[in-house]
Amino acid sequence: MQFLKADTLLKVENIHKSYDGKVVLRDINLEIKDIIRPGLAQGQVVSLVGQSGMGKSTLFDIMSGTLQADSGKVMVGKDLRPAQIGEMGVVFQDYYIYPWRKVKKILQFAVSKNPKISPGDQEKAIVEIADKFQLTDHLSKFPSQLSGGQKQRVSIAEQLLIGNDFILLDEPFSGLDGIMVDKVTELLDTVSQNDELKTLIIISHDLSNSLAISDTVFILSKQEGKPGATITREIDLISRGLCWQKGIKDTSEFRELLKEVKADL
Amino acid sequence: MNEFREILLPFGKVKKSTLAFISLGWIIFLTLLTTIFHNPLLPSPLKVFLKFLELIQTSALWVEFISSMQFTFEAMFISLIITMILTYLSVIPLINPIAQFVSKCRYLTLSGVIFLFTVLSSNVSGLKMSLLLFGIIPFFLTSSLAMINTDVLTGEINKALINKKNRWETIWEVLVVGKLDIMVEILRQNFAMAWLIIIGVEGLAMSEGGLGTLFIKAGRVLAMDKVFALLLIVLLTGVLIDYMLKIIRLWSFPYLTKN
Repeated sequence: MQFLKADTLLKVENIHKSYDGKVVLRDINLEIKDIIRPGLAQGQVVSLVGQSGMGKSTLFDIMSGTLQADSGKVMVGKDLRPAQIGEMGVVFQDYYIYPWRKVKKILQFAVSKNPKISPGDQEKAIVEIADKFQLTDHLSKFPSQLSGGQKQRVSIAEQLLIGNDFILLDEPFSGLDGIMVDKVTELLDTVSQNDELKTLIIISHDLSNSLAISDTVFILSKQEGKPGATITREIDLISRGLCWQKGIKDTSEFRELLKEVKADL
Repeated sequence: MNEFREILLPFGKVKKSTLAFISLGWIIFLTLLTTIFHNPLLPSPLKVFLKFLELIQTSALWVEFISSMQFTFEAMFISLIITMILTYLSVIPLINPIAQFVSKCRYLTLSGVIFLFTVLSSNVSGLKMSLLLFGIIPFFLTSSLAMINTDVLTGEINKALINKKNRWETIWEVLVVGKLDIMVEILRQNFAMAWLIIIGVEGLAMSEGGLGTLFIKAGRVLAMDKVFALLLIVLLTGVLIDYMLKIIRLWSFPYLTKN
């Protein structure tokens, strides 16, 4: 498996966050690098896993720019500029798709914010993504007429049309049945393989599904005697040969990995 | 038998027709009760009903009724516009204290500010309108400001900012367009308050006419059957407008009913 880890695309440096004097996050440091595979436009898929109540959502909000950290910074791009709100797309757990807009209008708003797509090409981009995400028949519907899986696809399609390189996904597998989870996994896999700089950051407590599509795993947990959670471990799944494989969940190596990660949580 | 049990149980599930029967039963029960044990100073339900039938056939009632309705809708429209502007601008820190203050004005009694508005208004019509606006806007605004301070709205605002909308676009999308249906619902819920106040305000400015003046005139001559018949008209009008606003809301915002 030939690959190369090149420039840093995202860097989280010394993030601290407390609520009412209680430390929630401490010394959060992580770095995501551009993975280069010869002949492929390989994006990055990173999982941030941790037990419930460990501060995953807080870190998620800080990275998305909707919450201010007490100290530390989030930097993006090859020039590592400070991240601003709007530079990372977010697929929320409860989607937050505006119920008053029809699906097509939601996608039209999204594509209008993409500087890489000219106004003349916007309609074509919507048609293409709707087709790819099996949303063509739902374009004239309101979100309340969609199933959970369809809403999630709209939310992901919306973020792809906006065109951010980074997309944060909050618990993308929660509330979906087994078949839908497989479809979402496949969809995220496809998204990550379409653009060299596309980086998906999955925040989840569903270890099996998030690890199965990731190239790197960051474990958020507590260290004995220290307040708040921090990144206690980074696992490079590419060097272990546990990445970019179909049916990886059935392998014994993957099962061993799950045990290993669970032990670290 | 099961249906009967459900009527008596908490959270009982009954058909709409059963519920209509229950309501009708209560009306009959209360009518009988007030007929049998009626206070001699108060008119019997039959007398009120006959007066009601007589009143609705007189043109004098309709002249005053139309005057009240016209005035109410005018005041409701102005109140809604002012409330919407204050609500949307309340997210700007400079404007927020003004919106909060206007909302708190609901604790001021109307009778306490009559003198102030009498001094400030140049005519009776202006006095009526300013009193009505003062009576309605703080209640409208209290409900609409409560809408802004919810987790859902915070999520929706964050979503707009994440989706690269600027702050003004966010106000437009999330607060103006997205919450218009809630504003109409607030209008519906507060219509009763406006309707209540207008009758009182009309009584203060008799020369302008309106249903309020009819109440005062009937009260002066102790025509209690007429007072109660007028109350029935006010109640029925309120219920009808409430229903109409409900229908208009569902018709104007189809996403509320699509599932």
